[in-house]
Amino acid sequence: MLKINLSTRPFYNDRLVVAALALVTALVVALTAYNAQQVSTLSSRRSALSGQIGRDQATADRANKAAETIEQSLKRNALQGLASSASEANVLIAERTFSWTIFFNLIEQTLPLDVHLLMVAPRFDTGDLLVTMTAVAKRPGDTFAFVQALTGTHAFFDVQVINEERSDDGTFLDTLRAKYLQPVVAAPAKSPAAGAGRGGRP
Amino acid sequence: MSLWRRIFAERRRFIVPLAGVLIVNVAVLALAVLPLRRVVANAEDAARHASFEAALGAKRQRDAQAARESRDRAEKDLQKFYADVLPTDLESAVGVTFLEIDHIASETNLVWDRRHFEPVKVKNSHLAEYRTLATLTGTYQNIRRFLYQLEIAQSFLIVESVALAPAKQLKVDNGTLQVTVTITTYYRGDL
Repeated sequence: MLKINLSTRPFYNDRLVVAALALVTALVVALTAYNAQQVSTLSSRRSALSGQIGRDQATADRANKAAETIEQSLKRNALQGLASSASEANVLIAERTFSWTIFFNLIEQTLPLDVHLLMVAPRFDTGDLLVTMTAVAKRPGDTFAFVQALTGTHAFFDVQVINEERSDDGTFLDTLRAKYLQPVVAAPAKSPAAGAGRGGRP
Repeated sequence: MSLWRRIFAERRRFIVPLAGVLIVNVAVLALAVLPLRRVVANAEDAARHASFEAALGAKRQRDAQAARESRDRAEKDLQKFYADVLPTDLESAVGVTFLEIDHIASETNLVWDRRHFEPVKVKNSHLAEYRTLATLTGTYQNIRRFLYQLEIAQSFLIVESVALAPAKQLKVDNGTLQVTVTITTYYRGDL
């Protein structure tokens, strides 16, 4: 048997070729659709962003101009003067609210028998209430006991003796300085007339 | 003729336009879609920046408004403090200290031996101080009542210091003490 192909146009798989072309066509169509969708989406996104940028810049400009106008009206020097006056007023109010009744109640609880208080002067200094006290003591140990007792109240802290002099009569004149945090009382301080006092001895 | 050439030749009318469309699509992708994507990415950055700038501007405006409101409130409070709480002038300050201290002293059974009044200028302030040094005699209880009455007095009086008289002058025998109390009040000194 003769095994040769005598055809000038031999057969090939036509379905395969058509399928391949259909696949390529589908890919081209998909790419076209993708490109069209991307161009449309990106263009509208760009327009939206341009609008948003414009609006935000306008908002920022308006806000900055308004802020500048207000800042100019505030005048730094006047503000500093106002802050200084407000601070001064706050110190005066704090000094006014210093309760001598509460203070003397604490002193009566802590003053040793051989110590006499001669002078008390509270004053505000950089936010702290500093109390300067002058006391007469028979012995330096009495003053030390007073310092410890003051510290023990938790109303006085950083208590220190800043000066001590021996008097002619052999007593010691001590100057104490302490930071004082006025205890908060639930009810207003009662009149001292009703109570306390250790035999009228300051 | 090879098989591929034969297939191309037989399908030329379809393959050539398809290839043309494919080339155009690739060109659109390379020359339009990808550059547009970069443009949009840059625009998003610019939009974020603009949005941040707008937020900063709004915050600056809010801060300035808050500062202005705070200033207005502080000015109002200060004016109220000067007008309603403190004596308005030297005359009022003199009246407050002169009369009120005398009144409280007699109410608490203290006797004043000496009073010294002194207006003091406060450095770098609109306020002037009016200081009173009162030397009072009485029992310890009455001195404490005197201080308490000063604490609750309507007038703006500050007790700056309390000092016992020197030991040699103390009259402790009959239970009385002599104290010097420094009391101050403030008024607008620049009016």
